[in-house]
Amino acid sequence: MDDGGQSALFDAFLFFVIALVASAAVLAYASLSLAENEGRTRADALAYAEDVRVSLMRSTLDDPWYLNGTGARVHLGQGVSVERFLLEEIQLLSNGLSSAQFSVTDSVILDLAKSLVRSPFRIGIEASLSGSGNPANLWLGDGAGPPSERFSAPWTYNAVDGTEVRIAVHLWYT
Amino acid sequence: MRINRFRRRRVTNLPGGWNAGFTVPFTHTLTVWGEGGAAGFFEDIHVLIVVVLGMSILLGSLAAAYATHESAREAAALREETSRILRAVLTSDTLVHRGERALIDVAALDRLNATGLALIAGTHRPLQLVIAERSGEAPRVFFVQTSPVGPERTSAATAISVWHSDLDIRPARITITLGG
Repeated sequence: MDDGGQSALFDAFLFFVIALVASAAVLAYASLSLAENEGRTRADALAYAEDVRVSLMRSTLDDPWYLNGTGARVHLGQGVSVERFLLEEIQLLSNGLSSAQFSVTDSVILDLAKSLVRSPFRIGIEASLSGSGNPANLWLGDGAGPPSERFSAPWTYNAVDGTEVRIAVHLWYT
Repeated sequence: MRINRFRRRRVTNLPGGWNAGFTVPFTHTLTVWGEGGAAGFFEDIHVLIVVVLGMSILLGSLAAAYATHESAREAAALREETSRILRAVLTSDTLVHRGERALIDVAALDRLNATGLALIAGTHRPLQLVIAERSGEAPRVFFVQTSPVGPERTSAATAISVWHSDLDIRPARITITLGG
């Protein structure tokens, strides 16, 4: 092969390399279009967290109870929703009771929440009281609190006495 | 054998008897080129192979990308349709209790059959509805399907409540599976 032939072969290889690069670009674009849109995924997770919160909050408990200041059981009867119980609990925590006095019913609520959430999510419930009166916080879930990367569905309740209670359901990936 | 039909133009010939860009010297052109050529085309066949290979890879990639894009678009459309049906079930007047979204009346669930589900969903595709209660003394599972769902399917799930009475509202998972 002479110089001219080598030149033609060089041109062919150049074209081959360009074709390879173009093919890689096309395939990369196709694979990127396959990937889930991150914003859409987050919006779906937030909507799911809100659905879980609504479902959990209006679920009724089977005769929930807690221990009052003297150690006596206080039964609330049938038809008390999770939302109603948590609102009562956070008020009573603000008034000086400890979360241990609600531990049995809190455990029932947490088990209910965990059974409701589908894989691969994990759930935690946070309640807090602020405004007038003593502030109080409650966390139902694994660990000391929710992780920073989470999907939250909060709801705020304003009482006539100026207190503000916030209950949030947090979901995060396992 | 007649391979090269056209003679080279004289302007491509260089002093010294060489043809620019071709492997055959001009002095040999008459013996390997044109009507009297002896398969001079094969002098450049390795170049042709490289070019054809490059073109094949490029066209193959374009075809693969198009097929991938089309299948992804169809899957996304099916997912969107499944989500739409899920929303339709959660807001169906025949299922919800007192118009509350995602609060399903247990009596309406007991009455729901395949025809009713297809009517709510507004689709002729195979459809499956599963509602699994997560509390109560005897948690129930409701299952309705319009026809068996094949292997091509998408699902959408969320959390709802099942109303048994004002004293008994149970959390539940709902899953809609739509056949492709």
